[in-house]
Amino acid sequence: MNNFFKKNIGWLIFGILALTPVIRWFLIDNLNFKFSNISTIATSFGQITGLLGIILFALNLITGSKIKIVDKIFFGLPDALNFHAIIGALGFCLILFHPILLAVRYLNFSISKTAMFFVPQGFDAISWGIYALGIMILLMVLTYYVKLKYNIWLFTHKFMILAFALAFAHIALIDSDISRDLFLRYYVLGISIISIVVYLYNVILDKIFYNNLEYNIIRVDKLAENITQIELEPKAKFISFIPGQFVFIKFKSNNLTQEAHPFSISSDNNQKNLEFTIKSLGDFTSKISNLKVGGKAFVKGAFGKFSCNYFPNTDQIWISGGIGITPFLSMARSLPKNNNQKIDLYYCVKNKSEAILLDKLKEIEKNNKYFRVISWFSDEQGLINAENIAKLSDNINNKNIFICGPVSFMNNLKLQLIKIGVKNNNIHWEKFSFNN
Amino acid sequence: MKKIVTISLGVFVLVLVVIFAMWFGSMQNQNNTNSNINQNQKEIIQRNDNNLVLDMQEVARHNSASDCWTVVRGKVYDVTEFSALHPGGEGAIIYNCGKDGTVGFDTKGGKGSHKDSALDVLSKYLIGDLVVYQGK
Repeated sequence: MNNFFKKNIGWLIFGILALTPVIRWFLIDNLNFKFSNISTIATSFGQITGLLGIILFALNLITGSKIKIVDKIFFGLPDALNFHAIIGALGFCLILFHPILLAVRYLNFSISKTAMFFVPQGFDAISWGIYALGIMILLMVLTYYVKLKYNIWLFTHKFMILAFALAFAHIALIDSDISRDLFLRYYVLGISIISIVVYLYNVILDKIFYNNLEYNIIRVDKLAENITQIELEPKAKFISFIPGQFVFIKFKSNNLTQEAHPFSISSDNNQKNLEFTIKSLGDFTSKISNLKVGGKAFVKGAFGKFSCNYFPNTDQIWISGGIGITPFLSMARSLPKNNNQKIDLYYCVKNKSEAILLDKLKEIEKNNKYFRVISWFSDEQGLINAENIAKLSDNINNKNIFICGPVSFMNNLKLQLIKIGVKNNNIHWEKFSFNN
Repeated sequence: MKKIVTISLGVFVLVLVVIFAMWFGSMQNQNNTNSNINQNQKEIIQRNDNNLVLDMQEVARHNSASDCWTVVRGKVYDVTEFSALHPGGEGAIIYNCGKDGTVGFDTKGGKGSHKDSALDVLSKYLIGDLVVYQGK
């Protein structure tokens, strides 16, 4: 499988899933009737926006669930969550235009009928749709325009399932193309039910069956003013992971809120204990240093495909910016000794005092002649760019390049690398859209 | 993405504001008490005055979306305006313009059946009984 399919298969599958009902809609009736005058054209587009909107909403629920199968289909959960955010926004916009376009036909009749179309009349099919839209608008406004704390936003965002349930009642009860065409009916209702089940599995069953494994905190080291390293030891069962992956952790501590947060593992994947190197970047991570040895943590995972193991037997370049070094530390520690895979790791930080993991990496370099660490201090050398990398590493156009760091760092380097001829599909990154 | 969401929300709010503003405006102007139903009935009376013979030949003349008559259970209806309001979409009705739509009505085009209340809705658009020529 080439890199293009490896990285985009999730988008392709879900794209086809989203467009199938629309194609079907175009085939069920004579299109001359559906596009004969302004009123029918508006109605038709109203139906298409509704149909595509509800399917995107359903796929949005599935891709927002932190389950393994989504992680596998997409290029890791962060990729799935990117898809989740994009189709969520697109689906929402389409759903906004759905009633507006459908209302056009009422304009032929009277303005009062048009206005009443937007007013719920109780508990009929159209009213369920209006209630669903109202809740969606409220939650999307909270997402886009109100700066809430992550845990509060996460709580409000869970009510999306209520909006979806009402939208489901709307499409199940309404007399429309979905109800008339058997294929559309089973398809739309089927995907909707699957998405509700996946959502509920993620929210409720996950808690009941303890997919989260219990670990004890056995070490809390403050490596620098704003960087803390913690080590977790499994109580009984432990997770297996591929180097470069991340897990969700819930800490049982009075100092921290109870929701799960994602953290990249920095330890070797041959050992049971998990090590995390965490920089304080937000409300939650700034309190990590308050954790105490002996405390409990629940771990769920591992997730992600940002790993050298997904591109075996290829020469690679790893570029880290700041705390983005953590997945590379795990990858470097887990490299097999007798592998002749050439790897150059760029450790980019402001100055030497920030390069807290450099000694550990140099240690690995000593024992592996194919692994090279290049430290880059921006205070002395300026920001690293693609040309610097091309000078220091040979043949970069044929290597798989991994980038991890702040979003602007990754964006800039990616653009520069593409400019000097590196193929987009050879550049791998993980854009965390989760808040820390 | 935020831009697209903002523009869509803006359009949505603007359209709602315009519709409701027009509605309030029209309510204030509406002192004449002619309801739609009365207008419908007037038109129907006019049609009857024209001495139309409501046979299939006459129904067949009204076979387009902009002039749509149909027959349900022996009665002729003018569903031109109603087709736009049909919950099941305009397409379902337009198929039956100028034809006997009884089977379509009874079976929802082969996919179910209408509730009794659907006949009440339809009755607002009644023109008269269909004239059937015996022996033909």
